[in-house]
Amino acid sequence: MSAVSDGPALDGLPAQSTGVAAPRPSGLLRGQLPGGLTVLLIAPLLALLAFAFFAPILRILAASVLEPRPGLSNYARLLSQPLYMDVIIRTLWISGACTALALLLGYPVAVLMARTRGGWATVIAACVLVPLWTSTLVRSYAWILLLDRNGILNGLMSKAGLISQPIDMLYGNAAVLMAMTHMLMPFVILPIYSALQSIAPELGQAATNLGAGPVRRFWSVTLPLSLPGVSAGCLLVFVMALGFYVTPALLGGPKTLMIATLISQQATELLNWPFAGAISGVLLALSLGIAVTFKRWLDLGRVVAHD
Amino acid sequence: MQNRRALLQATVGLGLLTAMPGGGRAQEKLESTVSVRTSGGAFGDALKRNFFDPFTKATGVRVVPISTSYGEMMAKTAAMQASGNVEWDIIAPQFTELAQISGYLADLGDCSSMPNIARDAMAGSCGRWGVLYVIGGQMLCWNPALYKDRQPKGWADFWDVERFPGRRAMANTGSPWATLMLTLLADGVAPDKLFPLDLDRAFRKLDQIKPHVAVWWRTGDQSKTMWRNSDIAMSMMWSGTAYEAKHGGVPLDWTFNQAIADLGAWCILKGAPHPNAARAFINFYMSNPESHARFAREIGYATPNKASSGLLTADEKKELVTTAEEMSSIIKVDADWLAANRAQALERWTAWVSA
Repeated sequence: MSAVSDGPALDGLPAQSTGVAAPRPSGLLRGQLPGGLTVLLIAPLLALLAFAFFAPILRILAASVLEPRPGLSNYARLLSQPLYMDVIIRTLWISGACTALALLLGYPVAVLMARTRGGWATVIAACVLVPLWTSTLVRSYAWILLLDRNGILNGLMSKAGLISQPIDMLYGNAAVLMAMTHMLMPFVILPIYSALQSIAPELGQAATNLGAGPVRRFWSVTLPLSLPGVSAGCLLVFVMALGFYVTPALLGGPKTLMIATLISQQATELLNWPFAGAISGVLLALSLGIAVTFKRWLDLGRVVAHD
Repeated sequence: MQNRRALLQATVGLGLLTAMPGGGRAQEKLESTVSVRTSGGAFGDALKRNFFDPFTKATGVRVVPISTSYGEMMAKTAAMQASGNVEWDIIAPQFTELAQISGYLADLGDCSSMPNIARDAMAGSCGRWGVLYVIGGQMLCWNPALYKDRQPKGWADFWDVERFPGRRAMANTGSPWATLMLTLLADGVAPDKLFPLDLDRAFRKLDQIKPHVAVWWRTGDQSKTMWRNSDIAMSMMWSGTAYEAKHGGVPLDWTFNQAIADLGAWCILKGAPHPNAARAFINFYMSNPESHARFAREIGYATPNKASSGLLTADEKKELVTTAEEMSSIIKVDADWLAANRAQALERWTAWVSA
């Protein structure tokens, strides 16, 4: 059973005779591929990334310290104007809230997905996956139809006699949080689902045999073992939320200004690419910093999970 | 066939460039295509019907419409110049923003290479970096059902929530100049005393209206749908968008009094791949009053063609900024002030509106 889980389970296995001279440390070797082949397999992806992703990013980051004159003047301006720090803090806040909501709502769905078999499993998987295949723009407009003052939700509530006057739900933090959480939930559900799937059912049975009730079983077995999925999912959602652009622009009010909108303003309204590069640099540093911190936590989670 | 087409092309091209006074560039050969940026939608369709297709018929030059948002157009323009690989010929920025991007544009001088401009277009249509091609206004609009007894007359009434109750909407598009200007007009500044903009005064006045603003629209589409979807009573709108909304069934009235100019320019990019065809197209565009009248009727934007206004009825003209008098009464952005203050003013606006 333990072959499904990764890492330490491979320790006991002898190295396969695939041309690898000596067994490698288990932390590096995930499968039984020789190193050369691994490099060959990821080379096309690396080449594409280098050409289409790293080169432009490096170029725009270079511009941020070289133009209009070499130095950190763009970054100094960013720090000296309260607008940019305010918006960065707001972006972190919205992304954090969005991550927490997605986790709270997504975890039960992942548990349900992992425990359900047959037709219902397909239905749940479809509910999680189909929105992923719909464009962000279309989903944002769907939220507008739902939440607008003369929209579906206000119509239903006034028909039911719950409200006498329509409520303004659109163009504010609540609408943006709701829509972003909905859009990002699959990214937290799927890693948790995958972590839950890899928990051996015998562990739960063993816990029951030892007298644990459902709550104790969840807290002591299921939850700790699903932590790698939780942290991977949260990391994905948080970092993706940092760069959200379309949804806050369509569903938010002026107060829901996020950092991507400021970058676009500099790039398209003011054509100040060096400064846009400086803001992007800060966003990139934040994302990387958070990813690295989370990665530590993720490794920690794995240690906990296998202890 | 190929030869006949080429001959036809050369003759018509020649005709276009030589039959006019001052057209001394008889030898310029037209390229086979020219690309023109449009904002797409009904506007792009109307341009194609009334100008692109007839131009192709007359010259054999295929017009490739490029449909992008305004921001994308500006960003791509800057990117193409930075990379040295210019793919487009004609872009369509705001007339008042030409100074900001003049480094990316071909110098048109006095437009003598496009003689139809001097002959057919109203005075002032030729700018060094671009040619005026559509005229609209950013104007006060309201839902007539709410103000049956008393109609708003100017921007001061937008601030007067006692006499004109109802939910307000304002633009938050990344180009807040018109909003800053109309705010100062509402505060009693005379149109000819607007510039340099007194930003402190403008933001003090804006503070008063902020609590009454229910929607800050970001796109033209949103400014069309918000009347019904969000029960808006009054807002500034772009005239073409308002025209489209009204003809699409949104109850809407407006005044051109104190309207801020919304002037579209056609510019040829520096290093454009088809410069001769681009000039020939802009020159072609300026003639043909019938096309301009049809275009104005379809889309609600006036054009600088002088003769076309004679082809419109009085009722049709009421909805457009057509005549020379109206053109002079709409209030224009000071391009020099904008060039010098754009970044700081936008930063201040963004901080204020998001606070």
